[in-house]
Amino acid sequence: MIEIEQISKTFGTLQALDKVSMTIGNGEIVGLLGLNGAGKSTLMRLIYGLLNPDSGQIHIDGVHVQKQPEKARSLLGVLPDNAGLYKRLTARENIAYFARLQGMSEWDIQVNTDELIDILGMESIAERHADGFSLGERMKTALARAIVHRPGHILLDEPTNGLDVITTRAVRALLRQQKAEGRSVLFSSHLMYEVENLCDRVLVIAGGRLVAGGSVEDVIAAAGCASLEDAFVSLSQKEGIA
Amino acid sequence: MIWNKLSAVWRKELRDAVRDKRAMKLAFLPPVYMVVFFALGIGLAIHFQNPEERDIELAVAGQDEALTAWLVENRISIKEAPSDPYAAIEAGELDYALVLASEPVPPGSKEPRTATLVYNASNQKVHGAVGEVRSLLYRYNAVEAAVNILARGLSPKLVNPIAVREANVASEQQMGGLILGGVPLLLLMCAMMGSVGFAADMTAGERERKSLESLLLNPVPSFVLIVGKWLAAVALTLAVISLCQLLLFIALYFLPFNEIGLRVSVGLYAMVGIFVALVPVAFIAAALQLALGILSRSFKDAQTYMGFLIILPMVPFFVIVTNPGLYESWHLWVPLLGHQTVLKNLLLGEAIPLMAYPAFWLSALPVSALALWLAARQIRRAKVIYG
Repeated sequence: MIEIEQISKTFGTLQALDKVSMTIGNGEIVGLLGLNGAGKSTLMRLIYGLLNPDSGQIHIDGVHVQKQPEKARSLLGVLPDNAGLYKRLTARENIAYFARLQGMSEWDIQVNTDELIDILGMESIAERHADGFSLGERMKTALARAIVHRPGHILLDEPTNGLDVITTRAVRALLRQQKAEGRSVLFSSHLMYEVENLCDRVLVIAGGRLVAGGSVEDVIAAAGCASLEDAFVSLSQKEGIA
Repeated sequence: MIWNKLSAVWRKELRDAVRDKRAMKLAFLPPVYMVVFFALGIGLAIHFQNPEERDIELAVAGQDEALTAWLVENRISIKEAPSDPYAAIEAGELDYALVLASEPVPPGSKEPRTATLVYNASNQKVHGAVGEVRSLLYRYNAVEAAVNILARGLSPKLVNPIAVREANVASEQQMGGLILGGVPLLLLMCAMMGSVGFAADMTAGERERKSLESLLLNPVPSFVLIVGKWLAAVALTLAVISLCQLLLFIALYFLPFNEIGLRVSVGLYAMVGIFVALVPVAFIAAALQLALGILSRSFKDAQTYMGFLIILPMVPFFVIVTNPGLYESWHLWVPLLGHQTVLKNLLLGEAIPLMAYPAFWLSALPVSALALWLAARQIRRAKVIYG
């Protein structure tokens, strides 16, 4: 379980996050919706501990992220936006390197890597150097690298951005499988159909504040709109004007 | 656990580096061309030092067959002097000339003759040749006098009460030192530059290709990442130093030092000694490269900042070269400064100060540790990750 309590963060004079609280339970997929600059990436970075909050605290399965950052990180699988690969390593070597840094045994690395390569359909690129990978191939490798240690919680920053339909489906299938295995998934997006398709719950963030949360139907009802897109636009703009 | 992660970082960085053609060229080509240029330079120096090789062309006015024949015998080539040799030398058209009696010497004449050596002393390049001709003239004088004395039944020793001999007190080693003075600089530059390209890729390269954030998401302390990268950079630097030393070993073996009467033999033992002295330099170099690299946004930035590391060994080099004999025992404790003296001694097969190795190693550790600590502190700063 990821518990976020009253998190605030400012950059200079910009209030990026303002007293945001939320809980993400095991076995659920939560979509984080927000316009560009709404604070999605900042919230993600605070959860995985590469940024420190000005106030508030975050616990992952009871582990305080700021006080025990390494323990917290071992519980997370993170795909940041723009995750760069090592171009002179093969896809398999890229995955194995991070698995070793997670402290996995060579046997487990082999088994888990093979499984992920199979699920994501990466057989043709597994032994190729990452230099020259397409966007989709890079994304699949980075995703496999992020979750090779079977973390309890998965954070994905706009994972399907710019992917073709086949790759998007592979990613979706993978996320559903993770959920079925009892893991929680938090992913940020600004693609409505992606969120509607996949999420148990939606959180809408605007101007650094959490403006709505609940099932897709709840959010639509709360905004008094006909579709999630209308609800999202209405909620985001309301916050912008206020 | 920590060791496994350290070894994972180390192995990954080495694998990545060996596959990086650009950085491999940047690391392993400079020793090759530095040693080649060094060997060419020393080869030419030997060529010009060697008196056997010198070609003296002497312009002669007037006639003295016996004397000119003696000069030719002593490998001086004779040519006809212009009609007014004094004016020609003054005008700089001719470097030097020998003016003899205008009339041929009648055979059997015992009258003293005059030979005038004409040259412009302000012309630096004539001194060697003029000195050579002058000493030949004196020797001719002595030979002819001895023959004349002998013809009168007296001992030739009578005309040479003082036998002049020259003894150059510079030992072979000292002369060799003069010629090999640049070798420590060459070795230190190899050590300082060896892993510049690799270190830039491990730090600024991570930032440039946006892999740093993902790397830091793993449960690995910053110092493990930095030390793993550092060990890889040190290993690569040691490989570059080994190549540099191997090439030098070959060059020193084949250069014809014996032609100028020098005996330069740098044995395997000295080479091992030099390597052990250079290991701490590799420690410092790799640590400074990583500390500078992590502050750089891009690979190119990093290379610019690291350029100054190449200048570092030149400072003590010029201090020592312009003040030979300046050596003090505290020099050993200043990284790169003591190396100039100690490496030169090792090359010449001379004894080195007892404290040299402990001083090199002990002084390198705090400098390297400080640079690594700075790098490890920087790597998790939001400005470095996201800036």
